[in-house]
Amino acid sequence: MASHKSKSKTGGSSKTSSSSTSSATSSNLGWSNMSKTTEATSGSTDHEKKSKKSSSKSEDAGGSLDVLEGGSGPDGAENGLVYLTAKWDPDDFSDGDMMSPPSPACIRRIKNDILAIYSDPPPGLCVMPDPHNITKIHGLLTGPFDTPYEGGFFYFLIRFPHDYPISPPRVRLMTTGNGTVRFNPNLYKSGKVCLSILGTWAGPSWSPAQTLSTVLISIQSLMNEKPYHNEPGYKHERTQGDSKNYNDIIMHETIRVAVCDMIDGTTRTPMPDTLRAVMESSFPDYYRYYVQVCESHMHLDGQPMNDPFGDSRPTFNFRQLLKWLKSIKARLSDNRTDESDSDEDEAKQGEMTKSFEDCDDEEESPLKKGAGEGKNVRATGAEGASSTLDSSDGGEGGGGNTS
Amino acid sequence: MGNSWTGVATWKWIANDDNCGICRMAFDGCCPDCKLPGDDCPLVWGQCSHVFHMHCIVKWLQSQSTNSPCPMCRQEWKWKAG
Repeated sequence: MASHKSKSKTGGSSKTSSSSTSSATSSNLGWSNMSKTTEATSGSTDHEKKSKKSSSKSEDAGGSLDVLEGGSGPDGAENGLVYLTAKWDPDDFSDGDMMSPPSPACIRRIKNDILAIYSDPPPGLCVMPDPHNITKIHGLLTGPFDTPYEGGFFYFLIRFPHDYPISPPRVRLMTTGNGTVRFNPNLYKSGKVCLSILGTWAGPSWSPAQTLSTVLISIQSLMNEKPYHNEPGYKHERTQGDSKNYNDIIMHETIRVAVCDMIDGTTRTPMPDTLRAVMESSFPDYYRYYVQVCESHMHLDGQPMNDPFGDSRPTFNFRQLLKWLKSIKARLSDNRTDESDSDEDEAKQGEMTKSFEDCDDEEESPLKKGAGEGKNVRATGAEGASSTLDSSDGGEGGGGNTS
Repeated sequence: MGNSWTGVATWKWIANDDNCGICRMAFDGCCPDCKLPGDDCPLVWGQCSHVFHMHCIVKWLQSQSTNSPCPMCRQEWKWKAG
């Protein structure tokens, strides 16, 4: 919020539109094409290597760029090559899209998007604007039920360009085991999310009718029952059993990286405490499922993970995961029973109400929990959210938050 | 006598939707760049029957280099006459 304060051009036009917040969120614009984004049909299977041009931060940089030089013209969308060069990294400030201050219209739209999620939360999804910058959103997706991602916590960083919603947001998956795990043919270890509406994949492109919610739901739809088939050219299994094998790998890595490492790992990703609290309060609900997965897959222990796409992977070790899960459970339940903990631990225990009240006067907004678990979080989240965002809505034209 | 009266009139856009699909603001209001609804911030219709604030759809169309799809249905945007 602070970054655009002094530079807003148009003065406050806040009065006329303040009434729209409640109705705006309820309109269902029926974007029925959304599921198509997972059906990427064109494009080569080794597009990942070629798309590294813009991402200086990628861990696995390298690969040739020569192939795409001719394909980045205005017609590129037609031949499906524009997505190779699309800017995707929310931390990439090499262009003006991210550096220019957001317009009041952009800010208002972002707030609207966030409010829409708070008031009608899609399952398994919670978001939280950065306390210092409303154009930066922290998102947590929980892996959908009946998929190998079930119970996993996938943390995304989202940044809106200054002309949002004319241009799409940039999204990075932060849950990658420090850049070592590719969770999906469309979720790279560099954090790049390959999704046509983000401009990083062939297919239906961005439209300004999309919202934060539709973007996150589209990403969620990448995490499906058989992610093997997300890879172009792999509609049918190349080798029998590939899809099942890939699911076993993803299940293992979900528990190892998206559960244990996210909650307890040494390389754990820095993320807002509120989202961390969501993970820790959801963990016990999933615990039996985690254990059941480990126990039913122990026969694989010791075998190398043969990634059907040739990615290097570690060796299956469900026994070790089970131990790790148990130690996390023990630690979390210790925290819960020990009332004399520090402030930080209090937040982790799920006493969300307190933090919501605290941040009422700031840009920081409470998260919203959509899934079945964490019901107390949901209830308080909705109230805190609307009060926070509504109260600051009027002031944005003149430079944001008055308190 | 001393009787006097004050006329009050209301107006409303007749649109299929309550909100602009681009800025998500109510059609009763104006687009986020404007101060007053009404003639200064009109609604416009496409042949696909989708409605937007004029300022919003123009911003979108200008950002597109080649074909300009309707944000809602992705059909090529064609202004509806009248």
